[in-house]
Amino acid sequence: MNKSQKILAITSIAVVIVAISLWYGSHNGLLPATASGEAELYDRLFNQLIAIATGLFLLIQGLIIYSIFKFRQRKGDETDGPHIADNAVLELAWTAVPTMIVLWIGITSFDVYNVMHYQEGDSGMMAMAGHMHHKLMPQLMQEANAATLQEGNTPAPADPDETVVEVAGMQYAWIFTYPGTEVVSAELHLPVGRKVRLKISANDVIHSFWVPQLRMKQDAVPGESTEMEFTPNKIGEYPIVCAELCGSQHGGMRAQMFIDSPETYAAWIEENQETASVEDHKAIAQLDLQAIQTQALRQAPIIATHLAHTH
Amino acid sequence: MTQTQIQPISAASNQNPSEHPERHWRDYFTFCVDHKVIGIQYLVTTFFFYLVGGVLASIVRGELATPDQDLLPPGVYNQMFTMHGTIMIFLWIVPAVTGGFGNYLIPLMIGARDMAFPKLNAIAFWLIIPGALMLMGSFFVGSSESGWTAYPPLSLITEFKVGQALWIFSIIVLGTSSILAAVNFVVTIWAMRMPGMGLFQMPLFCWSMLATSCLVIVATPVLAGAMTLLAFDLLAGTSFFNPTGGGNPVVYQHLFWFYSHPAVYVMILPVFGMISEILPVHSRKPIFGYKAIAYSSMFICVLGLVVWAHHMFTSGTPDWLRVFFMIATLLIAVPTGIKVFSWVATIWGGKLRLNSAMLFALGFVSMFVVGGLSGVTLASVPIDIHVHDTYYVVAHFHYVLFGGSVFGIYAGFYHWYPKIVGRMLNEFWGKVHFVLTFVGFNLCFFPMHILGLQGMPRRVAQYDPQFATINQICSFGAFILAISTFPFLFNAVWCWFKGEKAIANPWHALTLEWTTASPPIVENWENEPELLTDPYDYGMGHTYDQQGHVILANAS
Repeated sequence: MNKSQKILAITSIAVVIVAISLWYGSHNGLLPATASGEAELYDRLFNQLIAIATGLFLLIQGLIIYSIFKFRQRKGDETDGPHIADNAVLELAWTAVPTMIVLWIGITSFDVYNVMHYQEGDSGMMAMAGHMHHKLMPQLMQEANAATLQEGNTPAPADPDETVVEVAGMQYAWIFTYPGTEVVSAELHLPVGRKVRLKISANDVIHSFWVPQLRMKQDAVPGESTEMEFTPNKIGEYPIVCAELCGSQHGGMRAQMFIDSPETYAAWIEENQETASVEDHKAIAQLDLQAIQTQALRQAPIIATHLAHTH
Repeated sequence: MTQTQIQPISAASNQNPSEHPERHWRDYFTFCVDHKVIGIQYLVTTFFFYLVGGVLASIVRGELATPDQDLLPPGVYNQMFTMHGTIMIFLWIVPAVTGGFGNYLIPLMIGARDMAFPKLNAIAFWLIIPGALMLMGSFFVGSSESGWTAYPPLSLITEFKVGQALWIFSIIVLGTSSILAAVNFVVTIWAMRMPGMGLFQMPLFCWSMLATSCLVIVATPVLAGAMTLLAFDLLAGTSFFNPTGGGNPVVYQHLFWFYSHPAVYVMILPVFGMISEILPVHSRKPIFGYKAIAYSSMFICVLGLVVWAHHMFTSGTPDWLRVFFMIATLLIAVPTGIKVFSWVATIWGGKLRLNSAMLFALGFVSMFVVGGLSGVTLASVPIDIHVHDTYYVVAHFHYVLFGGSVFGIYAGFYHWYPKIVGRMLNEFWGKVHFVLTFVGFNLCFFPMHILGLQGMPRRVAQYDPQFATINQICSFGAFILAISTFPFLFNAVWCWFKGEKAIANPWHALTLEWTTASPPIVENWENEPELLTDPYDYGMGHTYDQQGHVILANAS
């Protein structure tokens, strides 16, 4: 093979690798359906990373497999290979290129994180939080701002229409309380298209609130309050999964999240409100809790022992 | 100091080698201070625990073959994966790669007669035994069920309090063993190199053991601290981590991961070093980029200490912390990438001897790349927030710790077995072992990436039936993986007694351990070891005599 043939071969292999990577990046189908705008943003980042990973995977595995065939010892050849121990250009390249790739991943991830994650304080504080970051890492933040503007996800002022739900994790159930109403439920109902804030707590051990279709997860830590924010954009029924080991029935700690149309949501709240108001709502709530916690109650003696022990 | 460490052997024993004391099989069951005996003690003991951990893994995969919890009672499943993880980390990979290969190889590679502190070395090994007995003993009283991470409050409210306490004490004892061994390695590598061997003439395995030992010395005491406080919370009712008494469970996570992330590098850095030894020998080419690989080990050691909180992206840690740990974690890909590219450049253009050692070494590079790439995606905070605590993470760390560490350990077994035992392993069964391991491993762990992304959390005994098919594939792969151990066991035991006798240097390698007999004599070398070449001087026209001893090109 002469030099120009070699260059042609290498170029065409590179083109094929890039093409496969780009195609797989957008057609991997590895993620479940999305239920929020944040999740769509996540998928874009994930697909970009998958494209990069696919390219590197093909490159390195290709080199290894090629070497195994091309450079295997031939029968009777007991000699050594060439004495080549370094190459400054190559070594510089495989230090610099990965550095640039991971920094790019860092910056891009920061953009996405900035949009997806819950900001401390209410959402009106977002701009201020942004400024704090600005001081810490100006470059990253500028990138982030540019990206958020492009996305059209400019931080909105405090939203009085935000739906707030208190989420409590306990062995082995999730309890959803709707402040301002008397609704306490084992199902999470949310109106589509409105910002949601979940105030997450834990009663016994650490749990983790995860909805795969939201691409979000937040630990519920006893003694601490954590939050999660998102805007659901697709009506449907989605699984809520406990992602942090919480005991023997951890795998069974599942619930459902319903993204409803605003009308259905209002009706659901009203219906549950009525049930709660008919009798002493506390008693009902207690009953509800008991129904929900049948499994948890089996653990009650342990919790009691534990409480007695720790006081 | 370096100059005075090697004790000259008396002239009489030089003239009459048969007078050297021989190792009796009983020596291997005693408090013997010979680094080679201790290395073998470590390797055999830890391999036994690898089999125990493997049985537990098979039970776990058996339970997961169906979506319902139908094989084990609730709680027992949690004990199985808790003990699986704990045993594989603390009784298999960490002691096997540091105590096992480190002890056997380091003095031989640097031309020393033994480790710097032989008695300390034996103490470090014999601490493994009470640690292991406590951990195994906990099976009889109900073992820990809170995962190998033992996060409070779960680990505090357990009904198996004795088991949890045994678990904690076992970790403290095993951690102490690890620290003692690490101190020994640092001093040995620093002070006991033979005259003429500078730091940059050391085989790369010595560099990786230096980096590993530094990590162990800095990080392990923090784990001991966390375990001690956890023991107080569990047994004395204190509230360091217990929220009901005002403690903070997230602080435990910081302390735990301050050790346990570096522990990942403790498990992989020595293997990186072993691969850097094995690839050049069987490729018949010098290691590519010696200095870059040596420095990258040290860089991973330093950076590895400041990435721990990437295990806690969903714990409610402050934003700036998440961003800092994301960038630090991403940067670790750079030195790791340098190693991978250097290994590929090492085999490129060589004359690859595709024997079992080489196949496992190449398998290591190939599998580790998969784990490395998924690791980069996990470093990204938003990506991690979805896949944290899912099967995606399980897939990732098994690619790093099985596809990485265990493949590397097997490569090391095949490569150094002739030196350690004095007999060759059977190549046919070695290849059968490799193929079964490679196929079983990928069938078992690759599909787990999909499970995690699709929504299956880890550490569950029951799961959404939509994941049943993929889980069956994983369990089938695990079954093949379990089977794959038999050809190796058979091969290793059979050849110990009946294998073809090994010459001093069957692979024509240039590092010092191959300049002595197989197995080496008690004092390692008859005379002073001689540094004839640099460790990777392949392709310079050297030839080898009947015992495989190098004959320099310019001397012939």
